[in-house]
Amino acid sequence: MWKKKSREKKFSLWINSHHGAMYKHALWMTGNRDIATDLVQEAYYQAWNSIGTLKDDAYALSWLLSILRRCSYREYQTKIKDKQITTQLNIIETQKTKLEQYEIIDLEQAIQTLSKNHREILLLHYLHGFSYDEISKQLNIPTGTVMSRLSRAKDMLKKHFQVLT
Amino acid sequence: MMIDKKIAELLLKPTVPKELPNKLHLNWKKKLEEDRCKRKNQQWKIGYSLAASIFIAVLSFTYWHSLPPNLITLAYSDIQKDSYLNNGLSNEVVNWFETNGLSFPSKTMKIKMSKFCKLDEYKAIHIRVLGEYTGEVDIFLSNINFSTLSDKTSGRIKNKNWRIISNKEKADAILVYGDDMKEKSVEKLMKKILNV
Repeated sequence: MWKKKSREKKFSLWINSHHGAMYKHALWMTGNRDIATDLVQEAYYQAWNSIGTLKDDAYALSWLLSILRRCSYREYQTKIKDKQITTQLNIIETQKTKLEQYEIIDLEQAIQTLSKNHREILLLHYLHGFSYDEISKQLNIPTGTVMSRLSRAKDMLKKHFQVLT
Repeated sequence: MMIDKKIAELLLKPTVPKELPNKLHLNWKKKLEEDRCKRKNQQWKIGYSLAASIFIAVLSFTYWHSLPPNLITLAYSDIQKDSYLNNGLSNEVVNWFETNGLSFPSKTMKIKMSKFCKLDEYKAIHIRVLGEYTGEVDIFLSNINFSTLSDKTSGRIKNKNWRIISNKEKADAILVYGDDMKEKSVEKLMKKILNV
C-alpha cells in the first residue's frame, strides 16, 4: 500500500516536472502541436503501465523519453498520414514577438530537413542537455555515432541559417 | 559556440499548453480509477471462483461420501444378477450354517434362494428370505469381518436399504432390503440367525 502511494506520488511529480520537456521534444519531432499533445498523453499512459520497469528514478526523464520515442514511431506514423499538416504554422505562437516567431519558423524548417535520427540526437543534446555518453546509452548506439550525427545535424542547421542570413 | 547556444535557446522557445499538465493528471487519475475498478472486479471474480471451487469440492465430497462402499455395490449387483433364482435352501448352505453355528430363519420367513458367492475376493453365502408379510431381504453371510472393510454400517443403495451386522463369534452379515420389508422383521430375522 505504502509502495503504491509512493509510486503515485512519484508519477505525479514526473508529470509536473517533465511534461514540458516531453512536449517540446514531441513538438520538435513532429512539428505539430496536436500530435505532440497526443503523444505526450500516450507516453505518460504507457509509462504508468510499465512503471515497474524503471530501475533508477534518477533516469526518469530518459525513461519517459524512450517511451515517447516508441509512441512517436507508432502513433505519429498513423496520425501523420491522416492529418498531413506538418507545416511550420503549427509551431507559430501568437504570444511571441514577430522576430521570435520567424526564428522558430526558421529552426523548424531547418529541423524538418534533418532525418529522424539526427533530429532525435539534436534534441537530446540541445533541448535536454544529455551528454554524448548518455545519448549513446539511451539510443543504444556508439558514442562515436552520436558525435558524428550531432556534428552533421549542426552543420546542416548552420548551413540553413547561413542561407537565410 | 554561438550556434550551439542559439539552437538550445530556440529549441526551448515553444510554450507548453497550460492545460497539458492538468490533462495529463486527469488522464492518469482516470486510468488509476479504471485500474482500481478492474482490480476490484478481479477480486470479485477470484472470490466467486474460490467459492465455486469450494462449493464443488463440498458437493463432490458429499456425493462421494454418500456413495455406498464397494462391498455393498458388489452385493447389490449379485442381487440383480440372481433376481430370478428360486432354488430354496441348498445342502451346501445348510452345512455352512451348521459349521458356523448359525440358526435358520423361523418357518414364517421362507428362504427363497441360497448360494455361494464372492464379494470382491471374499467368499460369502447369499440367501434371500421372504418377509413375514411383505418384502424380502438379501443376506450375505461370511466369516470375514465386513464391518472392518467399510467405515459406514448402513445407508441406501438405489431404492434399497443396506446394513452391516456383526457377530464376532459367529459371522458378519450384509443385509439389503426394500422399504416394503419391515425393520422389525429384519431385526427379528437377524436375532434368529446371528443371535444379535
